[in-house]
Amino acid sequence: MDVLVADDDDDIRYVVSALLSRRGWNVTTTAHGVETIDVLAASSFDVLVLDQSMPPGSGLEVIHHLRERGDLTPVVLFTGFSATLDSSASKELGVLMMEKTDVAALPDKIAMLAGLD
Amino acid sequence: MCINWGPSFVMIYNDGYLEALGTKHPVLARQLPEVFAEIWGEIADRHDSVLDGAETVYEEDVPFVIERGAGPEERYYTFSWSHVDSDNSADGPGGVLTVLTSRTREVVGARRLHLLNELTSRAPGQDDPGAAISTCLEVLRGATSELVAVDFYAADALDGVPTGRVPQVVLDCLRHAEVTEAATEGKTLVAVLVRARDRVAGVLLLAPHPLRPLDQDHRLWLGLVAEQVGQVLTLATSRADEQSRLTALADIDAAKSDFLSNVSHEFRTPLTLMLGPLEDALATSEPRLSRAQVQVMHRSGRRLLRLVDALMDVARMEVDPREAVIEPVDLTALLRDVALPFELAASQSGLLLTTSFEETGVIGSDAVLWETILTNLAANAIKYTREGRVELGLALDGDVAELRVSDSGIGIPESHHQRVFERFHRVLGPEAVTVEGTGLGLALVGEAVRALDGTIDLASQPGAGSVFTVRAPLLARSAGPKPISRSTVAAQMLAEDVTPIPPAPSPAPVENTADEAATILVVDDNQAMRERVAHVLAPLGHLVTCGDGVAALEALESQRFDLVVTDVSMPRLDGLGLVERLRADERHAAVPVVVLSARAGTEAATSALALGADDYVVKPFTSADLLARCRSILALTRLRADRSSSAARDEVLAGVSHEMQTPLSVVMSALDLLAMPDTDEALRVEAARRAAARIRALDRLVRQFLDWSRITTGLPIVTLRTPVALDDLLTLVVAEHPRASLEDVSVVREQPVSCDLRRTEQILHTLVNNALRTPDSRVEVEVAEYLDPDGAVAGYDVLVRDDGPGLDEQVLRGLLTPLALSGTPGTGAIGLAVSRAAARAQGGDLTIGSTDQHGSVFVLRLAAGA
Repeated sequence: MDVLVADDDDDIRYVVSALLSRRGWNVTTTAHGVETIDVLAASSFDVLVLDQSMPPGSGLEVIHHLRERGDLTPVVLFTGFSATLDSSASKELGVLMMEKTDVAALPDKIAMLAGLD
Repeated sequence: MCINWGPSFVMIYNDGYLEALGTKHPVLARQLPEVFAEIWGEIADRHDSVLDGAETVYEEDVPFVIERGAGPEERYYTFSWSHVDSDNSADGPGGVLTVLTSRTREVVGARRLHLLNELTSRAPGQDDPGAAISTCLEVLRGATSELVAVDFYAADALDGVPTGRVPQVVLDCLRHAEVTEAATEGKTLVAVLVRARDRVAGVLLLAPHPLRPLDQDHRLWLGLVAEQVGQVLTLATSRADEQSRLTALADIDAAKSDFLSNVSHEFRTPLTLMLGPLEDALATSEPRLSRAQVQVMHRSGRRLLRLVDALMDVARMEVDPREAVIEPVDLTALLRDVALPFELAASQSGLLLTTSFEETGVIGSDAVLWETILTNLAANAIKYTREGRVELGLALDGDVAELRVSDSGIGIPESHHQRVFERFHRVLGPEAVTVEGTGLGLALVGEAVRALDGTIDLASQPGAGSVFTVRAPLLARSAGPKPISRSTVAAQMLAEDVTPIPPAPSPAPVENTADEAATILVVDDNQAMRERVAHVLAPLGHLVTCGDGVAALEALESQRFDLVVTDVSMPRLDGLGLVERLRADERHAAVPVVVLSARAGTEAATSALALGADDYVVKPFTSADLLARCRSILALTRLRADRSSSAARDEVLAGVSHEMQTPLSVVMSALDLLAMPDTDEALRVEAARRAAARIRALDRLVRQFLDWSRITTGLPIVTLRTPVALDDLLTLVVAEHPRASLEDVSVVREQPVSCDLRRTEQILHTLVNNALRTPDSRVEVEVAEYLDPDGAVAGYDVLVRDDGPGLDEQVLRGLLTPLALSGTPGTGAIGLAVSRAAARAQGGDLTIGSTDQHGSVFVLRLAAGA
């Protein structure tokens, strides 16, 4: 399975990649929103893990970009406190929101989104 | 147009005139006075004079009440009346040519538009829906040329009112939800629905002016009136809601401020316990940690994690309240497991903890919620009990479980019994202030009890202990699958929280800020006087005395004071000189000063107050007077500090939590990786390295936040200066940032600088982070000597230079001023402002250097060490 992890923090990219690689998944990382959109134009993934804040660009911008062209790849969106985002809007977009500090639960959430259970 | 011919005004008209005639047409060759009998009185004179040869008359927007077939009607016309000659004067006086344009639509339309505008402009700032309706009715009732009667029937007031008292047309309107018309006693009534915020707010009952036909335009307008009233009402309702939200927010504000300072200290203790032994070990050539040190660090790390979990739980609780998940559970066994670590913790604190749990067998309930309840109540009981006992008990009353946690601790005043379950709320009493806590535990308990559909009672008196009783229904005793055995890690961790932590082998100095009593500096050259003042003010807190202004300034350098009480005449530097120096120094500008003087008279007092003293007390003074004045000045200062910082603190709470989340996530993920059995060694080392770096960054963030708190509340930053090898420090700092490089620093290899190591490290990190904010930018760090006027080396300037786009110099300077303190710590501006304050507090400075090209340069000046 191929997973894309987009986060502007190098350490987060490192530890999240390490956690996901343990499951035998192929992990690709990107460091900001614009780079993520570029990578997604060339390749596709089974699940995306996006940070909300990763200038230039944001997780939601990437999601809107994808959905506009009809790409329905499941997404986990890392947010700060979830209260800062409109959760109903993200439900419509087919996005699972998570706080970064819940990262231990991430591999299971990804498996669920990919239908691997 | 119409020509009215001859002395009897015989009418000859074209199609354009038909509008004015209405159903009177056809009246060709009939006489004007007879056809328009209803207005002939008004127009006869004009026709007569124009017929006699007077000049053309032109009039705009003239109102007439005429008959056009549907009763009298007010119409507006623009006229011109001109004389028409006959070919031969013998044929008579000729006639009158009337050219008219109907203006009714325009005139009435403008009036109606104006009324609509007035509705919104008259009731703009309303935050009371009732008052908004009254204002609307007032405006509409004033528009007597359009409406002869106006009433409003509120929808929620119509229930239960005898039907006879409400006009049928209103009820019909409400029932059919549409515009309803009725004619009674020759009057037309129109009932229109008013909607506010997508629901029916009521019915507006309007009686249109009888001279206005109820045509399509008119109906449309009445609809617009109702819509406008609805909008005014919506706005007022929203404002009223907003107002009550604001009041609620203000209430939580005070609790939040306390919470902030508690949380930062809670973070700081374990961080200190982790970093202290590490730094001590690193100071030796072969770093080595003892098992005891590692245990302390491990425990502190877990405690930090526990604190973060609690913060997250509370944050989540608001966003997404947890509902009970019913599963088979052996409640007694669960509670026993949870209680065990607390029995250990209690015995280490010298307390007796007893348990008596009635057997429940396997029942249906939510184990996680019960665990939350017992862990938090037990931890609180131990935390707030210095000696005596803590009892945990479970009893069954039918299908209701009753969990009781009682202690012989400090107790809770009655006035707090309701509020203890609110977030952030802590009971601050004379004893509680020495106990660390965040005020989150009981909020979590309250939420868990709610999810279990239970109740919680508190019986407590200050000094007489507390009894918390939770009653919650247990669902049918399920014979289902074997209950899952649960991990009680959470309980163990919370129990560790309340276990006394032995001091670290060589603890770093921690300032005691838990003591809320004031620290007062008494300055007087007369020893007996000094002692007397100190004796008088002793009830206010801790007293420090010194003999003159110079000694006072030295004392202020090394210690924070809440109040300075000074004599006027003293050797070296007198009282007024001291006031002047304090006010000129931004670190001490906010310290209140009371001047004592033997010189009476308003002039002496005025000059002291003009220099910035807060009060002037004339000798001889009574003890009570001096004590009262100092006490009120301390109270005022606290009040001022509280007010100015409370708004900024709100933002800071959000900013700090956000800023901490990423590093905490890294640390937690790294811990997960380390805990997994088959993680390979290289990954383990790298994860640990990254986690350690982020913990250090977290520590810096918390320290910066604490400094920020001090500055915004007007307190000086207390620094600890030691000789520091600057080249080593710079090498360490630069190594942490991949795009930073260090120039040759051999110039400082010989001599240490004198500074606060932690803060200088923090300033350097802030400057480098700030420079690296622009993606792909690079930063160079270099060092230059600076000389005193005699040409000797007085210290060193550290230059942090970036190749970013650069900023306007004005903007850069602004970033360093206290104004920037309203930002959020760690996010640039506030970091720089705190850095400057810290640089100055340790005897140096932070300035903007000259920029020869693009990019910016910050210069950190450090004094040379001894």
